[in-house]
Order: sequence, then structure tokens, then C-alpha cells
Amino acid sequence: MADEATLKRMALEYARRMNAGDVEAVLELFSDDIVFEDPVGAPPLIGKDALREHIAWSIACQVHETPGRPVTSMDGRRVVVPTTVTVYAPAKLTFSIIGVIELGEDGLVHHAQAFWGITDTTVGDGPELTGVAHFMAVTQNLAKMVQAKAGPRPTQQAVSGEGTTAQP
Amino acid sequence: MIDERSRKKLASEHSRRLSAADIDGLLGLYADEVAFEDPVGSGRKTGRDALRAHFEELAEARITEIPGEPVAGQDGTHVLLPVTATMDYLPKGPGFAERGWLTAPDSPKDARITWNYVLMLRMGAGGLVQELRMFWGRSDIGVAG
Repeated sequence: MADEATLKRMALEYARRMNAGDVEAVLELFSDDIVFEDPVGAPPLIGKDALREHIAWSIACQVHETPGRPVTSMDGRRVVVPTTVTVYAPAKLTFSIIGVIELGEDGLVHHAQAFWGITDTTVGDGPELTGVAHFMAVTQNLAKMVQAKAGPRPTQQAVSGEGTTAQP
Repeated sequence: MIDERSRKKLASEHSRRLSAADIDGLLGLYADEVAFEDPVGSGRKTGRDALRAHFEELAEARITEIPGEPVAGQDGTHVLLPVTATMDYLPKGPGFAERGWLTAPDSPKDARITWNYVLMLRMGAGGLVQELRMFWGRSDIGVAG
């Protein structure tokens, strides 16, 4: 059972290592049987090899994480942290997420959940889109990210949906 | 599947009704078969009567929640809300102190509890809440006054 300060440090350390872009340093925080749900609602990634690919892809997308104030639980196992996550390639997307991280007795992360919805995602720096225009812009840009996963290292491109007329 | 905006509205409404001490209104957001854990790690409880008693104690302590930005899961069921809250030390504080969750103040009658937690609500098909979980630990709670 970890003390609360250790739990909170773990959440901040994960963000620090992601921002440093060091895939192996990020993976050191996780157990071999990690269950990783990002986003919650998609099929979970299970095991370090699956997670390595996901982390490497996030880093290739130039991810930057800004954690907010973490809170814990009374069982010494969980830390919950609201975080702003931005990816800059292939296009800029910003996600307002809440991460729920569960540590085992070994001090490693065994289960991680990233809660975020389409309505928690912002496209580019353009005017705030709403309704169907927002939904379309987010899903188009998420599709670009997934396509970039299969292809060469993503580079920054124009953002789909910028300049689209916002729905009332 | 409940859409994201409806779940976020429900989380905001949950916060508003609790701060307004509208316990009947708050329970109106819940399904008949309900489970809750506050804080996570202290033991899961079930049933509307237990939940009503829990909310009534919070209302008696004049709880005021300041909600942050809600976040929705893509599972069609979850919504999470970061909250900063204050409430009178009495009546719940002595129970917290007994469990070692905080240090009892010199003047319990005048003291207020301040704390940060993340509320997690899981909704069922009917749009009602089936499960409430509140994440906070000893380092997320304090006493002022």
C-alpha cells in the first residue's frame, strides 16, 4: 500500500516522463499485466507490448500533459488526476481528461483509465465549434491520428474543421 | 447509452441540488438499486435509505460544492466531476477524526472542513445514477477554524 504522497507523485511523474518523450522511462511505471483504457469505452490495451506501441504513438504525436490537482482514495491504491493533454501532430487536439490510476503492492501501475469524451476534445486553436461541426471536426482529426499510427512519423498539418461555420 | 452532454448536465445538477440541501431532488437523480462509496476505499454501501442518510448528514453540515469541469467517458455511462467543497465540522467531522482521516479542531462548533474530491457517477439505461464513487484521501481534506 502506497502512501498518498507517493500516489500523487506517480501521477505527476507519468506526465513528466510523457513530456520528456522517453518511451521506456514511461513504461517503467507499469506492471507487465497492465490494463490501459484510453479512452474508457474503447477496448483496453493489455500488457506492456500493447502499451509500448500506444505510448510511442502518443509521443510521436508530440503529446504534452499538464496535470491538475490529484486526489487519492482511502485504500492507498488509487490516484485520480484531471489533466489537459495536447497532441500537436498530425494536427493539434486538446483533451480534457480525468485519469484514474491504480497501483499494486509493487508500487507499479496495474490499471489505468483515461476518461474523456468527444465533448472534452478541442480542435486546433480556431473558434470553438459546437454541435455537429464540433463532432465532425473531432472525429476527423482522431481518424487522422489513427491513420498516422500506421504510417511514417506524423508531422504537423492543418487542422480539419478550422474555419468551419459553427453550428448555433 | 446516455449522451455526454446529458451526463455532464446531470453531474452539475447533482452538485447544485446537494449544495441547495435538496435531498429529495438529489435522490430523484438515482435509480432504485443504487451503490455508493464515499470515500473510495472505505467500503461500498447499497440502497436508497443509506444514500439518503449520507446526503442528509452532508446537508446538515451545510455542504457547499464548487464544481470544476465535468468529463464524460466514451462508454455511455460515466461522468466525472472534480469538486472543491466546504462544510461544517459537525456532524460528520468527529467520525472522520476517529478514523484518523483528519485532526479534530479545538473548537468543533465553529470549524469547517475543506476538501477536494473527484465525484464519479455511473448511469444506467434510464438516465438515472446507479453508482456514486467519491475519490479523496487524508491528504485531500483539512479543517479550518
